[in-house]
Amino acid sequence: MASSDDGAAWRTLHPASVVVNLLPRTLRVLRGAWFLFLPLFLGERRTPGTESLDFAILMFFFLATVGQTLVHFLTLRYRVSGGRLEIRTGLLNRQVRVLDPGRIQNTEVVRTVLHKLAGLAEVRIETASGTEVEGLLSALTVGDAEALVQELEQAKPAHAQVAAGAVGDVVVSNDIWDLVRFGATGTRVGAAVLVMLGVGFDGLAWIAPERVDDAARLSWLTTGVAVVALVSAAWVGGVATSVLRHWNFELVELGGRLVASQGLFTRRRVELRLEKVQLVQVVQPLIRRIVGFGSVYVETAAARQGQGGVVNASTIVPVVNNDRLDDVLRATLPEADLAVDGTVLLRPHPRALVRSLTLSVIQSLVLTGLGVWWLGWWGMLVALLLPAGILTAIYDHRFQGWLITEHVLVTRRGFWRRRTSVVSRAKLQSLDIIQGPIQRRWGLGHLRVRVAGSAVVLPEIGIADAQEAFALLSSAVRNPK
Amino acid sequence: MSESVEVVGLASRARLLFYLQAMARLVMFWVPASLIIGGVVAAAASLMWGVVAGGSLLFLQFVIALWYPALAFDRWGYALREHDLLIQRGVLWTTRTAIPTNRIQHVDTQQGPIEQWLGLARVQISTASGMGADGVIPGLDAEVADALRDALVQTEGDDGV
Repeated sequence: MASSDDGAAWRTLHPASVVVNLLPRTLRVLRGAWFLFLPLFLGERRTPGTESLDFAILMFFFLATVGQTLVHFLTLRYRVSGGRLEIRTGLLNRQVRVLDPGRIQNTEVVRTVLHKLAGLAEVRIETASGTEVEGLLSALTVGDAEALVQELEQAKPAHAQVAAGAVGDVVVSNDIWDLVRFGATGTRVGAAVLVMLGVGFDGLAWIAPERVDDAARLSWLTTGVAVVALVSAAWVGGVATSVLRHWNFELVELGGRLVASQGLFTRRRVELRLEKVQLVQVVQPLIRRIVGFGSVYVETAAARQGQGGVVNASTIVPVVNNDRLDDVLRATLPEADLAVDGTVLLRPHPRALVRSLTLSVIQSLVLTGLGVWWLGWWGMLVALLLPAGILTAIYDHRFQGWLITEHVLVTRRGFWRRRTSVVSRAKLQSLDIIQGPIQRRWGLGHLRVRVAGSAVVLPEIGIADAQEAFALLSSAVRNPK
Repeated sequence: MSESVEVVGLASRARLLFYLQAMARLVMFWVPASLIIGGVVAAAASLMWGVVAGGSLLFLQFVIALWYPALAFDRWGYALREHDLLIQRGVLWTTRTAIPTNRIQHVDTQQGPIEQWLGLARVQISTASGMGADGVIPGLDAEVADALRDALVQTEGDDGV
């Protein structure tokens, strides 16, 4: 457990970190062990003294969390020594982690409401390894946090440094109206309707048989009101969430770095070097295309566990008006020598449409069969999915595209949620050509391109084109920069 | 995928390895699975239908275990070129992978019990893509696997991260 030592003093977390960390840690424990706590609060109490037992169990978990938080504060030490960040932690299992600033993918400074009340900030440092935050300093004074970020900046290779006090160029900023547009065109409404349908079906199962007729008489009115209320609530909630999360969003280009800051209650600032950008994705759902904007996702090799799995996007620019998409794309990926909507892309193979249509018909027939089996002839209504599936397949095929330019690879997928992915050819990690049995018979193939932390798949193209692209792309990465 | 690249096949003992692995899968997974499925069908319909369902599934898997390994062995191949490693594999779904050698982060050689007995090893190549091994070559002579591993990790250059 030895580490390089140039005499730099070890620093600690702020004492208030115990308080700042305790609440979120306690909530995490509650969330992780909800199945244990549920019976404590909702279970029937038949035996005297069970309240005391419940209290003892709760206290055990709470005290364990307090102890863990105290140990974290008392044992965590960090310093920048010999040009590297060292973090020591642990009491029984001691760990020394050394991070090379040159390997840092992005640095994030987060201030939750608790941090703001205590005058503190959390510093998150991510490298390309794993799916966790490799360097997490959960509560430093704002001054210490800024000093650490600056020290890491100075410890980077000379070409990657930014002069102190340098002022950057604002690439894009979002005002409250932009964020309202972003939230109002989100997908939360659809998700809420699905939840509502689930709750509705579940509720039907709880109605006593003798009350079914009453419920049926009430259902049209109550269902209508419930639908309107739920959709409205989901819509307002979506707008509020996006406004709070992305409040005062600003993306600044500063000496080869991108700095994104946002958030009202929890303020986040993410810094990443342009040379670390692996993939830029322009996301334009249909409704947002009509309204006139899209979102830009910037990914580095850093990945972390987030809601719904591994999150790769280091920065999301919520609202970029269509006429500024090209500027933002070039600001985030300078070698992107194309226009998002203006560049003519190569089309997928025509037989790919036949394949999509065939799959769509088979899916609809299977679903209709299941519908008839469960619901009788009412299940035939599921057959209405067939024209919808056919239209989606046709439009999806029509708007797919791909292109290899001198510097980048571009793919576009999706009609309802159009995603244009752009990767630098110099960043490719590996390539695959994949062919299934039907694709082989029809002379089609898929080309999958992996970059650090992500992968993009080209639309279904002719196998000759796929092989040509495969050879072209693999030749590009043979020679290092 | 008929682009002409001269690929090296696996060690001849790999054919036996594939057969043994297929038989192990048959005994350890498909026999119990067929019994369970047959039992469920028998409980839901009749004993005869249970025997038909379980027996058909087991027979199908037995045929696959006889037929598939030889084809898989024939389709596996790799080529270590000047700047990249090419791997091709697959019977129904065929895949050809190119991994530029300057992108390789680390290379593993692994030997399971059957591979140790046969003197074989598999090579796993990982890049920074973070999605597990980008390339796997099974059924190589242990010495060939070691030499390939050493050749792949000696490459230097920009790793694209």
